[in-house]
Amino acid sequence: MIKLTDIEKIYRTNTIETTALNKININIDKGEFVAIMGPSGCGKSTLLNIIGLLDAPTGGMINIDNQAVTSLSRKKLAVFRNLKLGFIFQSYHLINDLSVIDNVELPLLYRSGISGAERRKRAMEALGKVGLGARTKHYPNQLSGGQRQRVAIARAIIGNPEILLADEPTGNLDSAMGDEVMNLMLHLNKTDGTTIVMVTHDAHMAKKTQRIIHFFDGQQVS
Amino acid sequence: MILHLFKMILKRKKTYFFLFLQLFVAFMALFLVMGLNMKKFSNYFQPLGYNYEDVWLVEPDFQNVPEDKKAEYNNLILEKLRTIKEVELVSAAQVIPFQQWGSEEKITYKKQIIKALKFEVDEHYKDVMDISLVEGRWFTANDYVLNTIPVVVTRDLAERDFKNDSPLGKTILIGGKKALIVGISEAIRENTSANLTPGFFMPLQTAAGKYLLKSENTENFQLLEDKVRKSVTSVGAAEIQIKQNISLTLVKKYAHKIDYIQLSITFVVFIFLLVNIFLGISGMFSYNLSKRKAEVGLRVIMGASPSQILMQFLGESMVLTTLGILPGVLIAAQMLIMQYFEPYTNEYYGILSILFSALFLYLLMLSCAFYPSLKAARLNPSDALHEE
Repeated sequence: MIKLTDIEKIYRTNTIETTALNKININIDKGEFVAIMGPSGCGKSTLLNIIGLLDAPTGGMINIDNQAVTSLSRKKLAVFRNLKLGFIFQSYHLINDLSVIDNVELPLLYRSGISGAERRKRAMEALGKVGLGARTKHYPNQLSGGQRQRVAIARAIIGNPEILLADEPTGNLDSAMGDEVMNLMLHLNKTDGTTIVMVTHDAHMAKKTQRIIHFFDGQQVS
Repeated sequence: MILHLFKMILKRKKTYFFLFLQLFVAFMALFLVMGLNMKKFSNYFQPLGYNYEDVWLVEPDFQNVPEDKKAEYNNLILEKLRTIKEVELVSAAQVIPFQQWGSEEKITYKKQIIKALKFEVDEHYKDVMDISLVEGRWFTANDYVLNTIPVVVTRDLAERDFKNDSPLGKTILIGGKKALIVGISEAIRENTSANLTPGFFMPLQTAAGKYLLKSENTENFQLLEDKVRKSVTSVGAAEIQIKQNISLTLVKKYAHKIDYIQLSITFVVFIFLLVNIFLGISGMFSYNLSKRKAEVGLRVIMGASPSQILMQFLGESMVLTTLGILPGVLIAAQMLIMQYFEPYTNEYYGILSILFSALFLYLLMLSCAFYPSLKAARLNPSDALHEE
């Protein structure tokens, strides 16, 4: 599903050259739930940004769903992200001026051929999946952290993406809420067959996934 | 998408309050400047109703002349002016285009009191100023002996106050005195920028003090000026000075100069206002967008292409403009319905002013929003997402 070949990411300034990722080769199968672990600054999030097509690698090839994506234009990348990828962040990144349902609808707003009624219906379904069907008209600042993260998950899955990319999704939550969110992702992985790549510091959460990839100083160590 | 933008803007109405206020004030200012000047500007293309090009103006100064001698000297000067070879005709009048117009007077017709402009002139005024008659005749010296005042009404007054009735032969009251309408003249205007002024011509009730000379030699300034001066001094009263000895073409030029100065000041103030509006709006828009970088990043991550981000923020600027100018449009429309700006503007130019002001602000807002929106569209999503 995801094939990374010799991925390099080097940040250059006038005086300093920093290698964030050094010749990374990873294969992730369809329906796999993978955790990426490592200390801060080891390149986990950089890798996730590259898989999410938010950042371009300095070198190497990325294949997602048998498609080489490194050479795609910004417009095509946007369409690809919208159709294939879903994102979950540590700090939720909900738009506070939009209601829960409007936040969830957001990815479909950028997909052509979907009517307002259809968007609403699918948003209701997604919110139902995460157990927030009764909170559609609330605003993010009226919800708890766990609820906000569930809204973010509903937003990530509304477009039926094949891949979910989660950047420390339980990082801001207490253990009970973290477990709740983790179980939700496990459920999505199991029932819908969604491929999930999760960056985490939490070994307890990582153990629940099918595979753990360890990073250190921009290199894959296991 | 429009509904989405409306929702977001309404939720942020407090943030956008000053932008709305600025747009409202800008709209009202534009509407007033355009509304009050468009009609004036359009008047430049309308006929004046008379011909001023072959006319010379003379105004003797009787300030130092004893009261009992004024009428005598007046007649003497008139006679002298008539003897100038180059002068075809002389008219004594209190109505001088581009300089001194009629005074407002109440006339009574069928027990209704109407306001109109009174033009006190003599029997030669029509020929000197080349005023066309639509119907009837101009008054003559023979009319002065009658008990009623002979009156020539302008076409616009006839249309306004007599509707389908012909005013010819009708008796009206002017200041309690009976007056008979003997003719209808073409409508006339004070100057090239002025509106039509419904009014009536009547014989001089007091000494005019100003003379209009019809002459084909008005372009030979030196010649006429000298001859007029000699005529006035030949009356033999040293205390009589000459206040004005000039062609109407020059009078018009001076009047226009003042007009142009007024227009230039309006224009400078207008440009200053626009620059301020532009800086204010673009500054506010840039600031608001800079506070929304994380949102931009999120939208890109959710699948918005750079052009969609650009279009979203441009669309947002259009929604903001609509909400900002809406109260102004309603107030301006209400003012037009109440005829608040008559006679400076009318319904037609009022509506045009609303449309142009709105269009102008939409374009201004687009130009203010374009660069910040373009910058937003070019943001790196992962960097933008972490800028709170």
